[in-house]
Order: sequence, then structure tokens, then C-alpha cells
Amino acid sequence: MISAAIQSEWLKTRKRPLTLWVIGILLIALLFYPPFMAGISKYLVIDTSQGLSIWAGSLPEEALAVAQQMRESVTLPNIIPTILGVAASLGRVLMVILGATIAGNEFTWGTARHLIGRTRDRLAFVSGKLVVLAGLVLVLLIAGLLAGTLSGSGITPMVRDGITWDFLTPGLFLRLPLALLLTTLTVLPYVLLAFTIALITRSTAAGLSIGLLTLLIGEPILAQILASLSEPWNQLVFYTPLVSN
Amino acid sequence: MNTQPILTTQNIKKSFRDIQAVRGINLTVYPGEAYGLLGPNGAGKTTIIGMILGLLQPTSGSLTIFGETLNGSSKHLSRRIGAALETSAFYPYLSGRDNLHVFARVLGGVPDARIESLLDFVGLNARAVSRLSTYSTGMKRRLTLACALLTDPDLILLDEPTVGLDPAGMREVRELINELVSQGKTIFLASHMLHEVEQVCRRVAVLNQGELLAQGSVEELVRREKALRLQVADPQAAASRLANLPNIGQVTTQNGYLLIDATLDQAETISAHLAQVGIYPRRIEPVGSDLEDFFLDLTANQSTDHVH
Repeated sequence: MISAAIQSEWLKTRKRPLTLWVIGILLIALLFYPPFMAGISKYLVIDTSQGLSIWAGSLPEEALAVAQQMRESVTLPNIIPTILGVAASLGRVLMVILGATIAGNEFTWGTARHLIGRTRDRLAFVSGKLVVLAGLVLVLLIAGLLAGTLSGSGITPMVRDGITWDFLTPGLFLRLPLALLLTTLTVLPYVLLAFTIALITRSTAAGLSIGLLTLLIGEPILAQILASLSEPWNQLVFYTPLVSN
Repeated sequence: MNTQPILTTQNIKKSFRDIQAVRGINLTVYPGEAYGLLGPNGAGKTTIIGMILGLLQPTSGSLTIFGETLNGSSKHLSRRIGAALETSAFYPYLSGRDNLHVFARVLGGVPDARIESLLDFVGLNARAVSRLSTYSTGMKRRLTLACALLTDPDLILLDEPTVGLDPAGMREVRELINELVSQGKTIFLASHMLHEVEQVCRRVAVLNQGELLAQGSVEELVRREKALRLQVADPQAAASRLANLPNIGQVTTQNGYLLIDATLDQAETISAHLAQVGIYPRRIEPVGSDLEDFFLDLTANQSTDHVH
């Protein structure tokens, strides 16, 4: 029954307009991120390595090195970890919205009652959604990684003198799946929180608000609190999804 | 009736906090019949359907379907029961066909050809690719019926299937229901539309405020051709002439007509008796009560004389 629920849920999700919007926004953002960062680094540099420093307009000597770092980060091979981080950051917000909506809409439209009334299987109903959501997060990150890497490889010759492919080692292809999996795990907790709240409260708005508040405000505050604790408790901050990303 | 019932409820009760929605109901539905559950809004019809579908758990009592007592492990019965609820909902962004595919996949084992034949059966082929949000109320009702039939169920539950429909839409749904009955399906129809139930159902149960007031065949529960109404020139003279005629009941006059407590079979005798004294009826017509009269009388008196 769960496999049947997954098939049904996949049909609903892939045809949902919001899913297409989420995919579209993520891919477009990641496609434009490398050229945008490379371009803007000529006029605007933000350095947070020692406090916060911002240079705009004609850049002084000390800003040129930081600007070069910005450009290096969006070219091969550094684009790979960079774009994963950006995909995870943007993906969390988008998937929280999608997760809350996928759960909440079933009650808004009354389809939850209709479906469960026919199948008598609440577990399959919920499980199918969770599997599809988790799969969608992974697929989005893979697609985003490909899009961003493609874009980054396109601007690499403009930033440096050509592309060197010596970074393509067997080790990279072994580490990449693990990196994707770990990145997925930093996105899933927020998606699951929004989904669960929407399911329990039968409200898309509740799932959305609590998911986004936790993501944008709650966890950064929690991370600050954890980091200020004494040893060894301050090590807990490295287990929060945002920091561990 | 010698066959085993397809659905029985044994003293089922359902309470929501202080509200007793269903108070000890015993229903019996036999295979292949159209069974009507009548009652006004709030009588408990939808609550009973909810318990049959497993959406609600009875506070006490039990339900037996296909010889099995319903419990948490009755999921295997889901394919044998189809339900078209009053508030059956679909996904507005999906087409009619895709909505059926969603339910077909979650139910499992429904071939695509079945979906296409059901769209044809309910007359939605031409609009199958249109988004549900563009469907009229009647079209949504027909899609609901198609969805209820996906697994070719033996028992079909219909909760207010014609609410919100225009007369043409109501007739379409009635014809679909009659077609299903002719195919041997068992229909359990909950409705407050008495005229609709009378046209479709062979047996009915009448509910009010969670109580079962009566259960039985429609013909047994209502009076048919109880009286004759005659249009004569002199009703008083005609009444006097008929006063001593054997085998007829009360004779009264009403609004210039003669009302006689007799059946249509006796019309010829009555007419001949009046003709002997020069009274010739211009019109003779039967005056019967119907399910509506029966229901109104019953709910007014809260009687259980006809419980079977």
C-alpha cells in the first residue's frame, strides 16, 4: 500500500504548479548565481572573515584579494561546494513552503478525508508524502548542483586562463554522493517540521509560519546560544543543520 | 429475504462529546438492492456512512460488511466498497482524468482502460483533460461517482448524490444509479430528497435525530392508491348514495370533490352505483400518499410501528 501511495503522491506532486515554481526558481537562481557573483565582485565586495567589511565602487587594494576569492568560489572546481551551499540555503526556504503546502492543502481541499475514506490507511497516506518530499529534496539538490556547476564552468575561462580538469579524480566522485546526502540531511529537518505542523494542525499557514520562523530566526538564535555555552556543550552547535551545512 | 445481508449494523452508537449523533441503529442491507437512508439534515446519515468507511469509530455497537466485523484491519475491504460522499473532494489543479488516476494508483490494480470506461459511463470523456476547477457541480458529482466505481465495488455508498444539481443533473445521476442497480450492484443511498429516494430505492430506513424510526420496503411503508377522488355535480347526493355501499371506507366531501376511502379497483363499482341514481362522475382519480407524507407523519409522531 505504501508503494501505491508513493505513486499517487508522485503524480500529484509533479503536476502541482507550486512544484514547478520551486524547481524553476531554484534552477534559475543557481544558473545565474556564478555570473552574478563574478560580475558583482568587480564593484561590490563583502568580507566577513574579520568582522564585516564592505567595499563598493572602485575597490581598494585590500578588497581586490577578497574579490578574487569571490570569483574563484564560483568557478571550477570551487563552484561545486559553493553551489551546494547556495542550493541548500535557498532549497530550505522553498521546500518548507512546498512541504507545508503538500500537507495543508489536503485538508483545505478535503482530499485527505476522501483518500483516507477510500483506503482506510492513514500511515500510507503520510508515508507516501514523506518519501516523495525527501526524494524531491535530493533531486532538487542534484539538479541545482548540475545547473550551478554548468554555469560556473561557463564563466571559469573568463575568470582564469582556461579550465584545468585535474580536479576530476575518483575521490571527487566518491565524495560527491556523500556531500549530496549530507546536504539533503541539512534541508530535511525544516521540511519535515513544516510538513508535520501542517499535518497536525491541518493548516498550511501554521506549517509555513513555524517552518520559516524556525529556519530564519529560531535556529540562528539557537546556534548563538549553543556557541556561547561552556565546553563541551558549545560543540552542539556543529550538529545544527545550518552550521553543519 | 433468504440471502445473507451485505451490510448490517448492530446497535451502533456515535457520540461527539455531549451530542449523540447516532443512537443505537440496526440496519440491514441485502445484496443487489438500492437501499435508502432517509432523514433531514443532522439525522445521522453522514455519520453512519463515516462509520461504514472507517472514518469514524462507533462509540459502541458494531458493523458487519461482507460477513466481516469492521475493525482496524479491514483495509482489505476498501476495494469492495465505493463511496461518493457529499463533500467528495478532488485536486483542483489536476484534470478529471488525472484525479481518477490519483485514486486509482492509491487503490492499486485499476487498469487505465477502467478509468476511460468510467469517464465514458458518467459522460465526462469530452472534459477529461480539463482542470477540475473548471467543472460544474454536476460534472464534479459525476466524477465523484466515477471515482467510487474505480475498483468495481460490490457496495456503493452515496451520500446526497444530487444535492446542488439542477433537475437535468438529478435525472442523470438517478439514471446512473438505476444502471448500477441493474448491473447487480448494491447501493446505499443517504439523502433527504424523498422523491429521489422513492424513485430509486426499494427499501428504506428513516432516521431522525440519530434514531431509527422505520425500516422496510417503500411499498410497505407508504399507502398506495388509498383513496379515490370524484368530481360530481352534487357531492352531497353522491355521498349519501355511497354511504351504505359495502367494501368501501369513509366518504367525505372536500372542496367540491368526493373523497372515498377505496382503491382504484373499486372505481367501476362506485361509478355504476352512482349511475343508478343519475349521478355520473366527470372524473375519477386515485389519491395516494407517498414517501414524503409517510416521512412527515413519522417524524411528527416519532413512531416505530413499521420497524422490521
